[in-house]
Amino acid sequence: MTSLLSVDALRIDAPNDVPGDAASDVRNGTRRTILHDISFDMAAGETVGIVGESGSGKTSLALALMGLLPHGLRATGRVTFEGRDLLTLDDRTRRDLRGRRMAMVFQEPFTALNPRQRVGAQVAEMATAHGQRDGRRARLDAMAMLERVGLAEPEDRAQRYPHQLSGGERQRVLLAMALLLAPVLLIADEPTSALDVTVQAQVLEVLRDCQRERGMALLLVSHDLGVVAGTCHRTIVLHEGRIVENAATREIFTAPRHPQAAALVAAVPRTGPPGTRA
Amino acid sequence: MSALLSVRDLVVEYPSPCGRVRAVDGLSLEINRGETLALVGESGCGKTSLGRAIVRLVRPTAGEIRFDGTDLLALSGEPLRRMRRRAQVVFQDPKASLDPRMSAGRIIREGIDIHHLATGAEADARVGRLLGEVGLSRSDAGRLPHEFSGGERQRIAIARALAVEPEFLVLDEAVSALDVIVRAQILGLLAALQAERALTYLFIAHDLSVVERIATRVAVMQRGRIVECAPTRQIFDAPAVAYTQSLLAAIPRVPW
Repeated sequence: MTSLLSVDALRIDAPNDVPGDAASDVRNGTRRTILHDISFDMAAGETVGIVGESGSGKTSLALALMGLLPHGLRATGRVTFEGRDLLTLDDRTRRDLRGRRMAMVFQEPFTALNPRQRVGAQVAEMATAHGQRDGRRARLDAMAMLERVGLAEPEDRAQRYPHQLSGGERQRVLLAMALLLAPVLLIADEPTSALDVTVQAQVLEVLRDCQRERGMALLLVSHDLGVVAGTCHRTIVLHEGRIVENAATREIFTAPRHPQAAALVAAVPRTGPPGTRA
Repeated sequence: MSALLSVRDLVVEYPSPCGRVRAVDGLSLEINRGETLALVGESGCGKTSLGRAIVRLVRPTAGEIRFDGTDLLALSGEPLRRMRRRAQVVFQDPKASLDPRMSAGRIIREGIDIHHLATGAEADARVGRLLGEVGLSRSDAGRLPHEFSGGERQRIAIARALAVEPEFLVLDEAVSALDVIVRAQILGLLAALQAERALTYLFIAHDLSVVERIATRVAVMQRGRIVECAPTRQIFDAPAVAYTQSLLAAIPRVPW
């Protein structure tokens, strides 16, 4: 099995006085190394969950893979994606990969969208920014994708600005942008944490369907093992910047080896429709 | 069983560019002394408006709210202030609800001063005890909100609410912004405080799974009304209304 993504001894350090929330622990002097010796592989089409509590380093890991680490954080090690080392890529090549081969959706779709541009145009821009010369073609593709991710009344919604959409609609727009160029890897960082549970269920379903349809690899980051359980075959548990478990999701639920994994399992509410209770 | 809080035919409306929006639409409910009533519904169903109306942070358009027999909406001035001490709120986002320039100790002490509950060394001692009660240490009194984690900030917000010795707490999505492990810890803390202090809770949440362990009864709210209200076990085992069933079905299922 050849790997799509191979992370080898990735380490992220924060020098002194690093700005930004991502490094709040560091600012408080409690931790200077955000990630220690992270190594794992992902095959094409594989679904992997990254789970850990706040501050465990899961968002920094996702950002490092995308080359979006906040200024001042330093990543060392090797991150090989489709045979290329992401950490040593020049900006131009990285920008080309990002969006076209690998894409990301974030927790808060409102801050990830441009407030002054209609959302349909923002999705279409994804295509034009990556070389689609035909503007009409880009708009048509954008509309088709908005429909695919389950946005109700896509013609109407595409004409709106981000603040005129609900949280769930905004997350579908981000998903459409991420999926538009058919990336082979999608990184989703807490894509449903800001949403109602009913909307969360719908968004996770779209994510799963698209993953299956396209054979896309999915790296799903969440603090909640319950969210990951139904979507990812394998789960990596992060704790204080280290991988403490990397196993089949089922195995983590049935026989967690590390105390932190056990705590995450215990925190998952085992409820569901009547008759399905564990 | 006596009702500490009783809400009758409550209407809360807000002005908007397209006329008045009705957030709470003729709603009635009772909360018994010492119980935890969970109020569950999706964004926009009116649950926060109801919670705010109950502590008089928004003024209802119509209806009646009785707290321990007293008509809350008829109160003003000093009697309202005295009533406010008895019913406190903890909000979702402690980053936004705590003054970033005030130390944890001052935040907790402010209510004690306002309600003249203690002065000087006695007030300081109370602040110290409260910090201990919510699982922080006395030495945390001098630290500012940004120096704490999200879970610790929520502990400060709880200590602030408890400082004026209320009987009733509105917990408005008080654990929604926390990760699952910290969430479980705060839920445990709330349960312990309720037992020690004989508190009554209105626990507002969008996620039914969060309330299962803490609620005595669950009220499910949709479009400004209560569509189902029953003991927690009954809501989970035999939900009567399709909307409640859909909320239950949305909880991520773990196949193992």
